[in-house]
Amino acid sequence: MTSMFRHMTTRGTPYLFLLPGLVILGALLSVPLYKVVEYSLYDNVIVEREPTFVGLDNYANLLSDSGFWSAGLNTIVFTVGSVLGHMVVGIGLALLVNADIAPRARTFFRSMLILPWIFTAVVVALNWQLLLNPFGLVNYVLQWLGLVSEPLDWLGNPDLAMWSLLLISTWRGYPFIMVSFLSGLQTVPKELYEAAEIDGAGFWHKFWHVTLPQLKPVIFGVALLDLIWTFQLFPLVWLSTGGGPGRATEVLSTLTFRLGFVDFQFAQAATVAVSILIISAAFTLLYLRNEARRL
Amino acid sequence: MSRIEIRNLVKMYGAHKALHGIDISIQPGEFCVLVGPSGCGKSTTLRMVAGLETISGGEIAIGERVVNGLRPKERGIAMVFQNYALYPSKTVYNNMAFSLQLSRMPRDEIDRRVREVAEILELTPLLDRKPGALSGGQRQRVAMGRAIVRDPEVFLFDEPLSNLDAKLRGQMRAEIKRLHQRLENTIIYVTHDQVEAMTLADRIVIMRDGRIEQQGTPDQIFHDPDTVFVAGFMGSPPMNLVECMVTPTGLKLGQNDIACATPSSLRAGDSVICGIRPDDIRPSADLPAGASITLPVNLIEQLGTEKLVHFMVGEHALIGKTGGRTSLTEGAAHPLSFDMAHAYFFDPKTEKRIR
Amino acid sequence: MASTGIQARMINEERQQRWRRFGIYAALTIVTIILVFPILWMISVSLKPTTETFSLPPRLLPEEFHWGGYAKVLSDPKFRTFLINSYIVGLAVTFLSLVIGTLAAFGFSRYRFFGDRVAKLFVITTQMVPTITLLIPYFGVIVFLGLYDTLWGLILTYLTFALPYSIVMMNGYLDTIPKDFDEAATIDGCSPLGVLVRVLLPVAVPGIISTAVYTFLLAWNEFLFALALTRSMEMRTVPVGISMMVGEFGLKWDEMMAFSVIGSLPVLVLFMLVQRFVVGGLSAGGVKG
Repeated sequence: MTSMFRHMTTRGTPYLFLLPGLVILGALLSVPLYKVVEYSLYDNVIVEREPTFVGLDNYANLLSDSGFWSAGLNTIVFTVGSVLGHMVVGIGLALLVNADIAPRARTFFRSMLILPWIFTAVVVALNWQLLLNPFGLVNYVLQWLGLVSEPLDWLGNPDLAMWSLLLISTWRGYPFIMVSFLSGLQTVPKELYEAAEIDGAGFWHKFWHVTLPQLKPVIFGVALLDLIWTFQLFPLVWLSTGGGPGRATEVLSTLTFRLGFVDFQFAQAATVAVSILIISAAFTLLYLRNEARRL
Repeated sequence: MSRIEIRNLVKMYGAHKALHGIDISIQPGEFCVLVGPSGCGKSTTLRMVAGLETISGGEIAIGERVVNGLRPKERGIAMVFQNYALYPSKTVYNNMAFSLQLSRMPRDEIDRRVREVAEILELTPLLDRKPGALSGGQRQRVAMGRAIVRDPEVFLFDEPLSNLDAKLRGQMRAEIKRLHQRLENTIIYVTHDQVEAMTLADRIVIMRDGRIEQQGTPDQIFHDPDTVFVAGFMGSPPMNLVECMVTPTGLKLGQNDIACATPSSLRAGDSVICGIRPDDIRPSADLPAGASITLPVNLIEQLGTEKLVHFMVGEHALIGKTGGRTSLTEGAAHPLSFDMAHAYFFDPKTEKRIR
Repeated sequence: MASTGIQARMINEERQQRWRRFGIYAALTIVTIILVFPILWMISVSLKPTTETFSLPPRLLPEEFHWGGYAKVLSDPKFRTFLINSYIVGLAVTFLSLVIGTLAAFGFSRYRFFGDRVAKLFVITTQMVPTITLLIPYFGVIVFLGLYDTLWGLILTYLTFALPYSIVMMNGYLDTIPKDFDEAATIDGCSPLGVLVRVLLPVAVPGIISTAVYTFLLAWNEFLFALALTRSMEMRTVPVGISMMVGEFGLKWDEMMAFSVIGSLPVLVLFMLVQRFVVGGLSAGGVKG
């Protein structure tokens, strides 16, 4: 009896360790995910006790709504632009920080360059509103350099707002890429660079033939993660531009929030939320395929 | 085929002096092995020849050119690394072709050379594989192939065999030797393994703490060591080195007198380090001519064709040798004979040889 | 026979290298100043009276240090409440997700069992679920549970987001500790939990620190749910508090920036103190931006 009991507990040990975590995650995710899909099939949810079932009407309405499509387009522009910005700046800085300098200096620069990442989105947004203000510092510097003749309303001008948002998002997001790429760089054997140098490779050849192939899995994984997270990013957009001016920077996440918590159309908001879920599920599958190979 | 002149080479790491003015002169086609314990500066020297480390002082010339300040690719060298450093994303073919591609050699010329070298190294069936799919010995050969295709003036080897198991190491050692006979390039080869040094080298340079301890042919190094360090470093098991007292008739070793000739500069009562290889201490029956003392044997190691005999003289532990079939008893005293004609004498203070 | 170009470069390798290094330092310094400038500017504005916020030409150092913004913010009990709320939520989430996450990470790292791959992929997947998608149902559920406008509602919500990261980061860290430790301890008579608590955790301190700091950062900085799931001033956290000042104070940049600085200080200090752990831990985990 005792030995059987012991046998069971040994077999069960890993499950006991995992139980609390998996139960919490399972419960806190499965119920809401079920709920959001359910909401999207009704009308007047949350605000009324007895919402009416409307089937797929919400989806049909959404697909014929030009606001949804323009928000979708903005989301694509914002996501692709942000990820590109993060990658270029992040990788460039990682290479620079990883150059042959004193270890202490490297630590210092790395700490400084990580800073944009640890502030809350509200502070980031406020900061940039201040800097991009028509009377702000960015305009002053640009005028002083003679690049613009008049101060521009970077966040208030519909033609410029998306570019400004991308600038803010790039500043905010590059440290994650930089840190990931930096730690990836540590795993590349030094001898490979030396061999390449003896083979006559210059900086770009080394980057192209040694660094990139070695870090391809890291780059792919990190870019995909960044893509998934940026795709659904809410606070930075909401606080920087609020989706405006007009709807110039409205993305799917701000649309969801606006529908739900400004217009109190929770069913419609849930419908947009589900569409976000579906698209990110596609990217997540791609990411998981990559991860599953490593497990 | 080029000569290599290393003149007064100095390496500083901040205030720390890692190399204290090294002079080595290597003849065209010579196989030169740098050997020494880790941290002795052998790898640093090699990497300075390659151009992977900066030169703090002195000069390196390959052929007639001083190469200080030249980039590695301009030095006419090729290098084989300890961990092979094959590009994991490239096939064997492209690993070998990479340097030629970078130098913009015509494609058909690259192809011709890669295939020719692959043939020599028996790599032809592996050309489309990636390094991950190769065994240790195959990777080693690709690494050498990558060096050979460039047809360099000088080959540099940085402990190339240390990642292989003992059997493969023996095979590759022979292969490198054969390759050298065939290609006749000048080679600098770094190792900490004295067997590799002895078997491969035309010239051995023994280094210690950033200085050259002795250089010469394997014979000179082995049979005519200049210092206690060299005497103790080369040979396995190592030479017995015992501090003893000079007497009018020979040496006093522990409580025992050994009759032998001593260098004329030594006076009775002087202290001296006496070095004698295990091969030259045998049971008296094997070596009737030597100076015989009866001593307690405390351990016998059976190696097969021979046995190592561990024994004590006073507080000194010494090792002698005997044939694999000779039977000796552990713990018993046996008459052992010292062949003092092959003994070496060193000054205990300077550790230099007294001739 | 060497060409003159080569001759010229032959003089002194180490001098060359010094110049190259100098170039790298110069580039890094310039880039760093530009990228850190927005943060410096925030501090600068917090120390200027509002009349000088946009004065030209801009000055990084104010003519005279103006502490009015800080004085105002620090004397207002409302802001103290925001800070206390953020600490309560942040510490509770950190503690809970660290305990639960470490247990799960131990299970993943040390056992092979039926369904382990699926479970691991599930945990990774939860990192990917769009928070905005969860917002509306959470709102419904939290209201249903009677947790609307309470800190408990926030703690529970944040746990969902923090837990996957704790598990993944701790798992990554535990994987770097050789299994020999466990085996030695098991032979010495340790139970599995004993192995974790007495043997692995003391070795895993850097991993624990980085995970804790990251979870705290996540909870401290969260905005969306804090905005949607609370209503009263007594339950607001720092990010929401700052965002509300925009409407409330209009153009009082000194006070807004002063509170931004104060509100960012805890994570900033924490991060700087343990950054060498955090950077290592992040790369082990693969973590959110």
